[in-house]
Amino acid sequence: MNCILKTHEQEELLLGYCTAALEPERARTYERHVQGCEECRTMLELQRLADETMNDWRAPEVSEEFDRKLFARIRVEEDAKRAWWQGLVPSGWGWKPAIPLALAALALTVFVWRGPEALSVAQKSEGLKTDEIDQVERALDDMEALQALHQSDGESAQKEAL
Amino acid sequence: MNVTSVATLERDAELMLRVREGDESSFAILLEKHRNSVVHFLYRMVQNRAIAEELAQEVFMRVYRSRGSYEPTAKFTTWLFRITTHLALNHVRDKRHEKLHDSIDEKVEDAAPRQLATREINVEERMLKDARLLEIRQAIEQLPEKQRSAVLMHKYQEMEYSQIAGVLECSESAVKSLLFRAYETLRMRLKHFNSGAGRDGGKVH
Ligand SMILES: [Zn+2]
Repeated sequence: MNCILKTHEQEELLLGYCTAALEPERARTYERHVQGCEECRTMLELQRLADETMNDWRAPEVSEEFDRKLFARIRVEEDAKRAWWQGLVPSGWGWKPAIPLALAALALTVFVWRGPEALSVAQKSEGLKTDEIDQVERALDDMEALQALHQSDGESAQKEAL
Repeated sequence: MNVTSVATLERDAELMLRVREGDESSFAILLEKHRNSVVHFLYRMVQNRAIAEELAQEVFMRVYRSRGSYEPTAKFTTWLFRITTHLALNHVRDKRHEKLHDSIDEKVEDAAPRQLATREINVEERMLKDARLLEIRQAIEQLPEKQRSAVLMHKYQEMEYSQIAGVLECSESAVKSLLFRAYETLRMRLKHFNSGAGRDGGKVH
């Protein structure tokens, strides 16, 4: 072919011209070139035909239920995620009853390790509600007999060690 | 990038950051704003309305799911179309073997209703237009998938080379090369329709 432009340049000018993206001066230079270049003229005619045909290709309207369907899917996924978290704790077992139990376990551990003086520390604790302290005490009462046994065993063991 | 697109960038990114903070109404605004362009792009990629909408649902599900980690490092539409083209290309690659010929009838049914204005042009001209449209749809469907997505973003989303490069995660010169090859194919497919057109002695505009 007899066009003086490089293929890349030819294409870039063509697309730039058809999308009105060229600087005015460059567009005028291209127009002058097209007047005298049959190859570029044919390319321009065909590009315009392609553009025009593509403009005729209208996409269908989006279904009316698109958004509703999407939000329903999001809801299902969010619910499933929540259910998974809740599955980590047995159903009907909230966090509240677990707190005094955990406190009881903690207090018992401290009591076993440090002896009866730990109890006064637990009672001074400001963050604990009265009923929670009661529950800790009740749990400790239940363990008293065992504790006494433990203590006497401990004392005799200490005496032996000395 | 002009002033409007900078404003758009900030607005969309701002909305997405609000979604990240748990604001669902901002997600609804983003959906309203971008739903049609995503669905229409996918429709032209796969040329099937139901599949396009199904893929678009997945696009917006992914947008919603990734709200927690969203960072406005790129223009929102670049990020959105990165997700969109990723899903479209995967779908096209998976379905490559099932291709083309059986979907032509469905396409006619899928097409948007004809504009009343076209009634005014004569039957012959209308048939020619329809034939050209069918030719270009088939040509687009047969383009390699990256060329196809580039040409659709360039033509219908009016994206600049740099943004298409951002979506396809390649260089601007790679985008140009994709576009030049794609348009060359489309022009060649319409060559036999050009016999009567444009014989105006090289008059431009
Ligand atoms: Zn030329």
